[in-house]
Amino acid sequence: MLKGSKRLKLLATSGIVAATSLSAFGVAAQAASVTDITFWTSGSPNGVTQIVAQFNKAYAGKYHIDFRAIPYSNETTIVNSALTAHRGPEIMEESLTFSTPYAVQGLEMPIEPFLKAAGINPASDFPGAMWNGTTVSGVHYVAPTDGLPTMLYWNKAMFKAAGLNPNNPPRTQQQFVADAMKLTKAKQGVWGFVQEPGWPAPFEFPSLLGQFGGREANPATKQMLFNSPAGVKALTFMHDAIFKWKFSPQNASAHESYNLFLQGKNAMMMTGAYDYASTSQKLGKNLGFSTLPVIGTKEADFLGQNYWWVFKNPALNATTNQGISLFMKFFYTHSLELARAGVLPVWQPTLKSVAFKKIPGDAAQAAALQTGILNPLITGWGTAGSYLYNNINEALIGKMPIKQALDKAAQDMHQTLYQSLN
Amino acid sequence: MSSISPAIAKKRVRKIGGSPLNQLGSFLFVLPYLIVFALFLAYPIIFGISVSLQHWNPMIGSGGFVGLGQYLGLFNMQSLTAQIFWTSFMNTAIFVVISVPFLVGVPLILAYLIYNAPVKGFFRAIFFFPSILSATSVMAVWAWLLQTQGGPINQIFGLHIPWLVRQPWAWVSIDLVTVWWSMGFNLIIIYAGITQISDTTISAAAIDGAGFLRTFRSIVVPQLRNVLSVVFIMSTIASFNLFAQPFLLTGGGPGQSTTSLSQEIYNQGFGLNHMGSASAMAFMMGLILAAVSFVQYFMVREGRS
Repeated sequence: MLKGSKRLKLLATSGIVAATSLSAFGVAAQAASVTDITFWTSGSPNGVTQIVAQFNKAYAGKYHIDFRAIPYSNETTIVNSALTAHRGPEIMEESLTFSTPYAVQGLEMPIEPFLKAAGINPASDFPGAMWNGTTVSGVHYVAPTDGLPTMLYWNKAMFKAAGLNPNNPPRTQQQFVADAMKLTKAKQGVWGFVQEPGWPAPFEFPSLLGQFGGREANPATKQMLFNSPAGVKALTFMHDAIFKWKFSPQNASAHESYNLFLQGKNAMMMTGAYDYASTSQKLGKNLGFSTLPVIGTKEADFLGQNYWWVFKNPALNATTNQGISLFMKFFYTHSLELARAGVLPVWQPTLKSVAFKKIPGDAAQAAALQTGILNPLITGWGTAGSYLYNNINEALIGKMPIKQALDKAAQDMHQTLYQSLN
Repeated sequence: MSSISPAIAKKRVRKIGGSPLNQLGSFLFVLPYLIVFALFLAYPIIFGISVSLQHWNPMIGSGGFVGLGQYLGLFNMQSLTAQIFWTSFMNTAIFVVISVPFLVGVPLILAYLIYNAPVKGFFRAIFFFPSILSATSVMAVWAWLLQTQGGPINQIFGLHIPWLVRQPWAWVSIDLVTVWWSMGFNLIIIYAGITQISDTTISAAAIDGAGFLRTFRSIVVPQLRNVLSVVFIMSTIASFNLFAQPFLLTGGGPGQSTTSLSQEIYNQGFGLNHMGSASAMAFMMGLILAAVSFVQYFMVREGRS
């Protein structure tokens, strides 16, 4: 028989064990009631992290967003490996062209039921340029999360020094050429505009192509359209900046437009809004920032962007789907956090808000959404696009005639994408 | 001299062969390596061969068996896949031809100079240092140094060379950066080889009147023949795997003139999701590399004999 003190100890120990087990069971039961939703992005996590944290706090005990930012450089490798291992995320955010292969392969859920469940009306809640035309076989699989328009940057101090009005940037091709020529002092290494043969052509060329009334391709017919007369005019402008008007140096290296702009040796840039934060920090009040001038015949502005979609997953159920819808709505309604972090939201109520309009640079970018154009939704467009930009590169270093460069690119891209689609 | 009786000898032979238990023990020692080998080498190779015989999309798996179709497609010059394969192969071959002599020659000369220098450890560390840097940081710095308009190299020397934008400068730049970045390992191997040359031989040469250069040419280089052949083969293999330098310095340009075979395989596999043709390209590259290495080895062996 056990002695009294030993019995007491045994009872106490049993009590502790029982209490611990019960509390662990309680925690486990509580954890089991929380629905985890994985959300990956290859875009900027700025702002998104804060929104996710707010959502997780607001829905603590019910839903939890497991957020992960993956590197943009090898996003497809990571996502495809995860999908192959059946460990892909529920929600994925990437740029639009990356979404297409998954939609074509039937790996994405139609997005409209999620938006509808959240009370989102995409036709009115998103800018038309970012919603219309983003279908695959007539179905919307993706919804926009943020935009990255192509913008005109100018150095106001250089404008002033050249006798130009620093608050009146060029708005037409004629004005652009005249201003750029006036700003150029080639012998001193000062340029009105630096036309790089490489980057940022993937932003600049589609913008100018759109301005001349052209399109990059027709996904329905798999036909390349950038070698049209509009494409030739767009590339001719870029070419003439170097060889005819000579307000741009020849053979500019990658990033040289940006580096010289920061050094006060390049007066204007036409590139994505991604350079706003750093140029604004360096130039301060001397930075001018607006939508692109009309180089062609109408306004058009290529939009870099991120979209999200829901991967088909056997684990999806009514509760998860509801959580996804709730999170999407929460994300959009809190998208001012994105703007504060330097990312352009696409939620119309946010874009129209007073708080948004007070954020420097964002209002100018929002204006570009009205005339935005997107890359065509063709599987492999992102990679096959290298043929286009390699040939544009050849034209801009004077090694290949403009029309020949575009035709060659169209032929190579068609062959690659045709193979890709089959 | 002791003699061993046939009975004892038989017993020893049996012992060397080992009992089944001993054999199992030996097997257990190599088992960890076998598992790693099977998982991370044998299986991926077999799986890769299998993928190269199919239309394979990484998102959905096999799209059908095509046999040797992907391999034969690399020889059908009407197809874009074959054109880009051979164009990028030629680009890579150009790089191998222009880089390997420098990757062997420059470290050889430097190793000899360091061997005769007073502060050997310091110089060895200085020249080895770039090898420990990541490709991304090295290429980012050189991309800035070699800019046409505002790049420090053009500024300092009053030049206007389009280092990264036009040929042949793009290859010159890639070669220059590669040699600067990766010669450290070769230098250490060659330096170790020089230290193995007998002092007596070098002293004898000096007594016979051989100067600095003559000793290098007639003593050091011949004595390093085996070391140099290894360095030569290793540099050739490394150069064939060219990827980061054009990817980060020139973006494969101007045009596609510096797009390497590894880069093209990556684009095919991970950009266009043509994993089947990417695998076929990779195995074809491996076969070519094996053939080149074999020829090099054979030539060195013939030269030695």
